[in-house]
Amino acid sequence: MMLEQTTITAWRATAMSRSTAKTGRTKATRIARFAPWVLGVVVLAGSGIAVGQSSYAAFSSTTDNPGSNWKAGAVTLTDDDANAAAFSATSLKPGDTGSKCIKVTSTGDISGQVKMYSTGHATTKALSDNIDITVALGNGGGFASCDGFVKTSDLYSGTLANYAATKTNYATGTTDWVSNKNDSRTYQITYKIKDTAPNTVQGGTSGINFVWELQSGTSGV
Amino acid sequence: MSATASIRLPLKAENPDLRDWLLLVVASLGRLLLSLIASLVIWAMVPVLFGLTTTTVASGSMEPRINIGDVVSAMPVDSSSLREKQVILFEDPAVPGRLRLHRILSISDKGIQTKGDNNPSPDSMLVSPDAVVGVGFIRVPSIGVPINWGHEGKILELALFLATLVLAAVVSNLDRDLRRRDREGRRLEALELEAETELVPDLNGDAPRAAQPNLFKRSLSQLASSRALSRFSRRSRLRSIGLIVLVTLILTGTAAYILGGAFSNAAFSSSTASAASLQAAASFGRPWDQATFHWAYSESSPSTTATDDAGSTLENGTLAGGVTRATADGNPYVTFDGTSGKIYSAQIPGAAPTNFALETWFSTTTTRGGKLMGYGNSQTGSSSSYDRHIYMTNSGQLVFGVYNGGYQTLISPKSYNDGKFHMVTATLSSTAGSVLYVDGVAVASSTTMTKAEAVSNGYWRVGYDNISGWPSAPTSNYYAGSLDDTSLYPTGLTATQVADHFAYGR
Repeated sequence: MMLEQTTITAWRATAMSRSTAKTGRTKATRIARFAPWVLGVVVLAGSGIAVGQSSYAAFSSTTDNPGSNWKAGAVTLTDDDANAAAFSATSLKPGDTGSKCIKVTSTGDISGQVKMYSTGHATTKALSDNIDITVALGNGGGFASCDGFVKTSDLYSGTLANYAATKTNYATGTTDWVSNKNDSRTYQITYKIKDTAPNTVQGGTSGINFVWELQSGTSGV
Repeated sequence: MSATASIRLPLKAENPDLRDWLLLVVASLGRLLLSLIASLVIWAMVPVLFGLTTTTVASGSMEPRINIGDVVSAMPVDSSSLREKQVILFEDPAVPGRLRLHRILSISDKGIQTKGDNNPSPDSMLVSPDAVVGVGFIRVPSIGVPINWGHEGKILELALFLATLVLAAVVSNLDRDLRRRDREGRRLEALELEAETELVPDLNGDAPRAAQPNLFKRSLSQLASSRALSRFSRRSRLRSIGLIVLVTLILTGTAAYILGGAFSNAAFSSSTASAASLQAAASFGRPWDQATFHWAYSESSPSTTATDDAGSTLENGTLAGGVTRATADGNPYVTFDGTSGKIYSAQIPGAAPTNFALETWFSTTTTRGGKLMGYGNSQTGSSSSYDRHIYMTNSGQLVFGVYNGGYQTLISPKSYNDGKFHMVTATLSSTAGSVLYVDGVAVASSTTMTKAEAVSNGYWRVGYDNISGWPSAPTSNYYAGSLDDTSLYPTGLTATQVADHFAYGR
């Protein structure tokens, strides 16, 4: 008897709630059933289209300047020679020597390795073979005067000809210092005409460009 | 008596729908994040499956088109089809072992010139076509940002990212209940459909014709069993969350492993330069420019040659016996042991010079004297015919002598065996006579000493030769001491020239 009553009441209760959620299913539960799959497919397809778009935009562009919101170079390396030459000496005789300091500064928000090398070397009468140069790295002093220059390391010692032949680009340059955004160092370059320079060198010339370059992402990270 | 079984229908009484919708929306947001990240990872992996080199961009010199954290795949192409403006992935010539992603600026025989869009100037080194890995083909934005974090050691950011993924996994599980209820509801509906056709209800309260009463029992028991199941649902919920988290981490880890090894640099760069120009003097004004021979002794050991660096006719000397090389302040010279050391020239064809000057720097403390330099008829031994020589006496005085029917000599008043370097010059002019200079200053002269012995085909001897019979001849024919810049001039030198020679230094 009890059981029958219970069964009927249960059935009645279910029947009465038929209009709202007779079985416990609602719109939300129905959606919940297939939502994950639909969402996954839509996102996969949508992102695929987005990747296609981004690839096209990145690699089919024919100009390197996409517009006015282009950020200009983020690191700049300068030296303090005010476009004057590091050395400009004539009538040099064996034993003659000269020295110049140049301060190289990095400005911007990129850190990187600074290296020194040379370009544009030309010599007559083998003068470059008869010039010994030393390059030192340190702090203090500058193009106007080497006063206050304190050396921290020796970068090169040898003939100018050997420097020009071996330090020709960033890859082969001397590994100098790592700039940590906005800092500077001073280089001291010293030359000396060899005492043993033969008379065949008389009237010879040497020309060279010393180059300092910073590249990012090479500081060991 | 109405026994109302308290059946807790699986519904909340107030605002059940709003709660459901909230759960659904929140879970969908979690799923959205997870599926977005998973999709980008999948798209980043597809090129890898096809064997395309895929790298994570590590720096920003190609912004704004290619950003740090983008995952870029390159398609290998024939070098002949490379064109300007293409973005290429290549082995960085400036930093061996690294890959660079920059745009081609120009192509020439010398190589490919590249430039980062965001760099003010082109890359300083040209790229060889062999170094090109491929042309940029696929770009999946930003999915490599966590890889860069890992590479840069940014543990905090990486941990936050992984925590976000785990959170999203948890959140996307919140609507699990909804799905379960939907499942149960579907089961109930199926059962009801069966029951309805079997029974006619009697709303008066009379017992319905229980044609299939067991069906209701069954549905009730099913309700009961599902309630029992809900007690276990917490455990299975945790299980499913755990499964999602595990799968997420495995996928992330695999992707990071495959992509995490390869980076490409869009390297920023900047450079500055300073020029240098040096010119040698037209004439070095060396004292020995006009010399017949000049020996500077600047060769390195164990050379036994004294190179003549003056004039066009080379008259080199040969070192023999106890002669050693030395250097003081970077200035090389030679030292004789006083018992066997000597330097000699090759045979000089023709007549010995009638006008000439002998010059050499010397430093000694000997008290036995010796020959510094002179002309003789023996190349290595003790000459039987010799003159035009400078020798030092036992007391350290210097003598210049020529043989003209008899011995003609000039002797320095002072001694110079003080261990310091001095310069001695002896000149003979057939018109003006002879002068002996020490350190650029005349110390003895004779206007009648104008002629030396007429001999030929002899040798120039340095450090040792016969002196016997000559005025104040020293105990030793071998000179014990040092010499430097030994020269022979083809004419007599003037006093000014000698002074200049001394001023020039050793």
